[in-house]
Amino acid sequence: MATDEETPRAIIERLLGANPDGAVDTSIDVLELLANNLVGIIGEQGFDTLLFRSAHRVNLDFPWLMYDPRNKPADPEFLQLRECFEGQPSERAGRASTLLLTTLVDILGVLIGEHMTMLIVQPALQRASIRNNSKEQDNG
Amino acid sequence: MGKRVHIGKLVTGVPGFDELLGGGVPELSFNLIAGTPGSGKTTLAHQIMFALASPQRRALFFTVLGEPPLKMLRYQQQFSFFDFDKLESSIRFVNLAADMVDGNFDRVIARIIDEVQEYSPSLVFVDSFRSVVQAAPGGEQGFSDLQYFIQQLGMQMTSWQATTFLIGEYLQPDTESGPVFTVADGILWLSQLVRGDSMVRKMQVVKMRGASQKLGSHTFRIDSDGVHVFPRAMAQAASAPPAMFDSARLSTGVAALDAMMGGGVPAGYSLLVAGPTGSGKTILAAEFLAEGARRGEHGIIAAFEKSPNQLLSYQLNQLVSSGMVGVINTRALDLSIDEILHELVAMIERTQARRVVIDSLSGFELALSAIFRDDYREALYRLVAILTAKGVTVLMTAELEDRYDVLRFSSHGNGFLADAIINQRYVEIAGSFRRIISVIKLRGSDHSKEMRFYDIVDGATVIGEKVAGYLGVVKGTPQAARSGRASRRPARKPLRLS
Repeated sequence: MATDEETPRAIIERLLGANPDGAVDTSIDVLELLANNLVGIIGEQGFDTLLFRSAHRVNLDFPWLMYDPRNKPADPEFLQLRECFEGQPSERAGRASTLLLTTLVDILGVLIGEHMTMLIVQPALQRASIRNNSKEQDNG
Repeated sequence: MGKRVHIGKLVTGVPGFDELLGGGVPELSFNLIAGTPGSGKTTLAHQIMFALASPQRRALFFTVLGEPPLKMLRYQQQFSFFDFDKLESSIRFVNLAADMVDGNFDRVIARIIDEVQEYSPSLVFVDSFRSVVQAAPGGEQGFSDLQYFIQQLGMQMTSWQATTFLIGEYLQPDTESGPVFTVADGILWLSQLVRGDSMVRKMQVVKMRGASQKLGSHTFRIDSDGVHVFPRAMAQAASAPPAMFDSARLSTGVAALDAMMGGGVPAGYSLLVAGPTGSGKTILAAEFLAEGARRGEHGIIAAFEKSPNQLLSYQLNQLVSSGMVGVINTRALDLSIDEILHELVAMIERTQARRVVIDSLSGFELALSAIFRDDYREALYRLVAILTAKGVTVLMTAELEDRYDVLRFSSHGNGFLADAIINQRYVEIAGSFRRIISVIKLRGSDHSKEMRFYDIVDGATVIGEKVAGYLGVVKGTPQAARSGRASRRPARKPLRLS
């Protein structure tokens, strides 16, 4: 469960680290929730630009992650992104997906400050935490 | 119970802004904030929003095309009015860019209504509305669609009891026409006037239904606290006619000068001390304030010739440090008289000051933005009228051109502004400069007609004997009068009075 003191980056690392084998699924889940929040404020184009910038950064460390959502048909479930992770070992895919999300929130933090970023992304991350906990309870 | 509907006013708290609107923004009004890029429209909109938004009065801020929302959030949070707590409880940002595709107004209005239904805001902002207008298809059909859209938007927002602000880039109020200008209940126009290196911001309430707004253009500034408006103050008619011969007199701090003025300066008068450089005007001004402090009267100085750190004498610095004399900041670039007047009035009301010094009028004029110098005399008249109407006694210093053969009583014909004029000048006697002081004018009161020698001794004005036994003193080079017969030389130049 997210605590008030955790930064968005710490929450993301905790969520994705909780189940390394399912990190890609969790990251897509978190991305969908973040998109719901962010698109409302900055628009689809704004969100796609941010996501592309983050993917570009990840590509430097993980060249197989080549993802560009701009000017493409709407893909609310990020199927195209999921395809990029297919075939990759779960540990490597997990690191790449963590880097994608943390880069996204880091860029937001640089642009609009950490406090504002937290205000915007916290609801999405809290919902993701709740969903994650439910899944763990179901599996446990 | 009255028959007319009561139109409430939303008091924004934006300094000076509510006064422009006659008390605040009329509730449920549909307003346009227009102006050139960089004129402060988004900042004003945000400042209004953060001032008014609360959990009981929520705000929806729609962004369309124009400044990217992330950039807007980045820059607007630099202002002190940006309240992060309200973002959680009372304010929601929504982007409409995707709904603007192909200029489909039906889709835009549907989205706006959906959001309004869901959030139930009392305040709605759309930035930039101009981008909505520009997305309209061309031709008559496009214009008709736009007109319908704006009417629908206005009607919907009123039905949902929201006060609405549309923000848009427009160039000039008199060249713009369009349905939004007709439908809008209120139009605020923000502009930037540039002359040389000087830039001044102006705001005009072009229209405000249901309110008695202040007419004309008004200066405003944007600083880290946001927008601060300085409404053009008009001299208000006194509720009771002033007494012609008020018995209350204020000492100038120089007893001999008080005697020359028949007992001091009548309270509430404007006093002009005019003289060339180094004649001791500022010293007399400091003595005027010091005398007030001795009597427990607060004073204020607006010093345009010296910075507060260089201020005058140790004596005046002591008065400032003690809190008996307030100092008006005169160092801001591109000053307006209204801004200075607002600061003066605020400080007068805060300290209950009875004495104000403006040192000097020449420095004041130079400190103003070039844009305001054209109507300097008119604005100065308003300033003096407003200050004296508050019962404050105003001492203004004015530098006279160093022409010793020309008798001048005031600079640039400002003498008419003053109820009283003290003239200081130099004369040359036997190869030395001597200072001479005289009371030229004192409305409604007897005063000495004498010219007297004076000097500055240890930072104080010391008035000496009457100038006697000389002729042609006003020409600057007096000659000793011989007993029984005046010694005269032909005048070298005609005497010009001004």
